[in-house]
Amino acid sequence: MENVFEFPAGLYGFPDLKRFVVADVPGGGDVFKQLLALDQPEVGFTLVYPLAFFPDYDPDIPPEDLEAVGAENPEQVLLYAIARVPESVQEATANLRAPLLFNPFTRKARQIILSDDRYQTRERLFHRMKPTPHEEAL
Amino acid sequence: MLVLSRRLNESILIGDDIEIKIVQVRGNGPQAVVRLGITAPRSVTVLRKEIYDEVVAANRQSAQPPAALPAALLEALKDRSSGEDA
Repeated sequence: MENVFEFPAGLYGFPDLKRFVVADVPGGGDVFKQLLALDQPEVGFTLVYPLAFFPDYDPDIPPEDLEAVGAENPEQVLLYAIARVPESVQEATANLRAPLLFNPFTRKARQIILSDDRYQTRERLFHRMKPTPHEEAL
Repeated sequence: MLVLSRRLNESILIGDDIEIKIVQVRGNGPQAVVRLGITAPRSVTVLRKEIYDEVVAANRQSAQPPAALPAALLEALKDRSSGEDA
């Protein structure tokens, strides 16, 4: 299975889940993916490609975390964030404080907690681009 | 739990390479604030516990059985990208 990633440390709150499948979601393209626990199929997460919503997102990834997934530099890893999608999707949020690093070459992945206070665990996906009536009039 | 008393500028060592030093103490009672200086190898993750707890809670609240994305979310995504093109 080509899209299986090993999370040697598990996810925070799910330390025993070490293998996940990254699956496409119909209509999600590269922006939304699903992360499914191989050993506990009822546990899944929605992943969001953070730069699609937060173009300025530029977390400082500690070299040890890169090493942990077998990467030498940040260019070798793909960053995704875990999204929360409530019924009212306008309130969907992404956890930018604790992104996931995927190394597609080694198939290892890891969730990290940034020490950077700029990023929060619940950043709204949509509120920033709600156009103001003024802008719409232009 | 091991409980130790320390004065300003005193430290404790954890293993050979982790040092936690009392850098400042201000205020009294429940409002007291202690500032700690932590020296540790870069491979050791140092976090405020509430951030760690918050991430654990966020992960648990985000877990769900595999399901299709809500149509409304995909719509919102489409609206957004078409807005950007314009």
